[in-house]
Amino acid sequence: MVLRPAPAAWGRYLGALPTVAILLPLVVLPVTWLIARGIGVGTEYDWLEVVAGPLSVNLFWRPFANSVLVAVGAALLATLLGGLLALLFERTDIAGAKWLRPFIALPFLAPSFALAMAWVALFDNNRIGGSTGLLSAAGVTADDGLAWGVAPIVLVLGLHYFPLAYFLVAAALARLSAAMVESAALAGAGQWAILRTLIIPSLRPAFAASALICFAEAISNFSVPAILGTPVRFFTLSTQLYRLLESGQAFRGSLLLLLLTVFSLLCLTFVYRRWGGYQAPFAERIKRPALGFRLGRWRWPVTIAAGACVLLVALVPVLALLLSSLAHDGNPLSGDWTLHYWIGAADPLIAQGQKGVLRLAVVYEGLGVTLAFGLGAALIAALLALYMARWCRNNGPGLLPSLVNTTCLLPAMLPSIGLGAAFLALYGGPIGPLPALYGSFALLIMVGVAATLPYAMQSAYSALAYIPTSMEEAARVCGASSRQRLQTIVLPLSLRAVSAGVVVNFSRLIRNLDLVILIFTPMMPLLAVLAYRFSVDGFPQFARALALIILALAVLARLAALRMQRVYEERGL
Amino acid sequence: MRKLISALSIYGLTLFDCVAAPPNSLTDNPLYSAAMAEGKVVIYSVTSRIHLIEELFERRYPGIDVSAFVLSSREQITRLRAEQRAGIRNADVLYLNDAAAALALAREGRALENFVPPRMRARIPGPLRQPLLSHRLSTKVLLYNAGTYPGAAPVANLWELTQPQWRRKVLMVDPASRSDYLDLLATFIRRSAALESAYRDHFGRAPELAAGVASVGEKFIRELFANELVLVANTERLNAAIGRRGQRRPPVGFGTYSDLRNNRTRGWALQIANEVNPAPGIVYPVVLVLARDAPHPAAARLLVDFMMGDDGADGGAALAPFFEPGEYITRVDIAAHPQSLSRTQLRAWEVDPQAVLPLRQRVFDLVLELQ
Repeated sequence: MVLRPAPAAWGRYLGALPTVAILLPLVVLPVTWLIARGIGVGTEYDWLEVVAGPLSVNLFWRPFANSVLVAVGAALLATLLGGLLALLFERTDIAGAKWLRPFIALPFLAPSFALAMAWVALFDNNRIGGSTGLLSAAGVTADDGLAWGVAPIVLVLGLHYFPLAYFLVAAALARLSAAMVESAALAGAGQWAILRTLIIPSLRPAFAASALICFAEAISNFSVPAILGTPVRFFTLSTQLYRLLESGQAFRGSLLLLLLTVFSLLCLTFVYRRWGGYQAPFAERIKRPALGFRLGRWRWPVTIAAGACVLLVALVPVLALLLSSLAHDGNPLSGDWTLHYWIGAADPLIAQGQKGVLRLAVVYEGLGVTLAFGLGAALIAALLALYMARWCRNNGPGLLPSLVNTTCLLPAMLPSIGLGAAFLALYGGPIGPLPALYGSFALLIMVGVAATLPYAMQSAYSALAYIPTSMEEAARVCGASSRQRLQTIVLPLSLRAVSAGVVVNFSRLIRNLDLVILIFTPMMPLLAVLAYRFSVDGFPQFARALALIILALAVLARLAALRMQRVYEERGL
Repeated sequence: MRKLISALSIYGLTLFDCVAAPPNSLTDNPLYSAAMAEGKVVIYSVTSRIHLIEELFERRYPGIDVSAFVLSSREQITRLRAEQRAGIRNADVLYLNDAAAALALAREGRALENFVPPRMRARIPGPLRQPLLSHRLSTKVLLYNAGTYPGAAPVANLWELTQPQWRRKVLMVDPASRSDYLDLLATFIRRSAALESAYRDHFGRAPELAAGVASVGEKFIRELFANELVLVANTERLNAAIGRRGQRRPPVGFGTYSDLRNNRTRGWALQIANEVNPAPGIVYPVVLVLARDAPHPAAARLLVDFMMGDDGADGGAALAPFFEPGEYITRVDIAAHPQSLSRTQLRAWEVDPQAVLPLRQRVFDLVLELQ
């Protein structure tokens, strides 16, 4: 038996080649493109015109201010609501927490555009015409400000992202040393004192991190302002960008894209540097300390209030979507029910001869593409991430591995719509001998893999944590090649953990409209884009039906992931 | 080789006018058999009525699958450009209402190909079949609610729309996202003279142009926006907002004349304000063209031929979805729908695609500035 010498330095660099080959096209080039385009490299545009020209106020400054306004509002709302609920559900003796907790994730599992559509279904007033919303039909006409523009965008985004804050704060609570709390109690500190002087201060980083993360997510969100803002000419950076790109004014969009990128990058980099990242707590199950804060006689009032809040936020959108997809003119209160929008045959009198969604060939095609896209990209990302995470681990701490880690995280810090724009521009046309990927499934997969890498890396690391390095060492000593070790040790042992991650990322991908809105072509229909198009083209019932289908898929995926994780934990792995 | 033969046979066909073969000799139609061999045809269409055409065509010509995608004109052109740049051949036929952009694309020389079914040559006036074949004429005209205003339109002069009584009560689809509305605005600028005399009629004095305002048309657009013009996402919303019955003070707005066809089923009371001065809006061509190097050239030609209608007095089933009040089939042998204004009665301005094209960017910037 011969002990192989540790690889020489050049050997290490050689070994990094596959990793570089993965990251270069998927992350490095798109990020470089985003920045280069933003500062005007290779374009004829004059960015002074965008920021200081006669059109600059409407072209740039107002959308910019709107974006900041919306994102700050949404981040505050999400953090306060999520944090408060986390304290209640994870730290007090509130009743029914076990039953209510599963509903908390629902608003985040729902595609953000579905929530926006639900809002329209509820609050649409007749101000800009079309079908009226449920409330309007019930005789309560929503004010303009409540139906469209900044207020609903802030509310919908805040409600969409509050589960993120919830899980971050809950994770921080779980990390809080129980011994500390107990000793404080023993020393005679009252509940309020413990809360005020111990728990809240130690949660400060979690609150700050959630606020920044929600800000970064909200500022780059496209779907919600597109549905709730555009009809009243309320544009944000992302919707203005889409508008410019779609009307052939791409050169003016570059700066907007760069700014979005810079915003997200700054916020999330800060979070990662300061708090070591948010460990995708959403995918993990949270351990709860036994000790609970006793609410006393407030227990039932608080339970009712918090429970109503959670159920309202989780279920009302779903009900609103469902009911309004079953009604002529989207108004279920008229009592004019129909299944036409789901299963109706072509009728020239309804919706310009459009068949129900379950009869539309394009919907099934879209379903197929969506499933293939979600599963394919999540799976490929998981495998690539596993390979890279293992490489990083085996090559110990050093400049290269940490560079790889940082690079892998980058896509999570970019706005999805920007990532889509970069991939379309870079790979849409032919590059040398390589074929053009415009409209191809490959392009979808690529952008999906890139967007998923950061999360896949996290699950890869946590999967690897269960495989002691000594096992691989032993195999190496026995003469097993790297590939053999990967096949016989790493893959089989990490399969379960990785597959749970795949399912979570699948649901993340299929509801991400922003990522694919620019890449979409009619030949590669995706359910999310079909839903968005129906809504823009004035077929709200069809849009709502499709949004429900996507939501159902995302919920199923989440349940599957939780189940896989439970099995995994029960087996003591 | 097979491709070459089928390509040759198609060009042969169009020469020998076989397309007009009567339906009972369907199988004898060589274009059909060439199309059968291709098995498929892909069309991008601005209207979802294409799905009705899809069913009719597939029934008439079994064995050819129509893939119809509803895309706005701008998307059609963006996609076609990107596809051709990427060397991907996907679209066969484009059915779009942005004649100016299609023209620009055709001028580039590579993207589009005009095909006039031989039996249609004598039936369509020259400018409507060259350089691009127009299928029908559509409109963007001032609509009002005839339920609330049963006598006549509540507006007699377009300049009234810039006055306080119509503040927040004039609707339009966002021109930044729709070429037909961009053309409506561009036509206001082109028709500055007519707007100027309408201004004199209404206000009894000559319009004054503020510094930086280049024309009376531009002044009109600026004042419309200043009067809180409401921009909506699509014509569906626009129609409902204007037309819904039982409104006390319904808005008016620029929409599609032929959408009046939905009045009965949707409970609307839309009506065209045809008498408004100087004109109610625009009438513009909707073109039907082939993508150059279409992957299914025979089926594409067969579809275009089919969509131009049969030899009956009203063009038969294929034209039925478009034979509506307020739509004008370009064929001279087909009169306007009996319930609509004839083409000569309709007072809308005709859009000249070549003339509005250079104005597009300026109008777009104007909209951005005013939004």
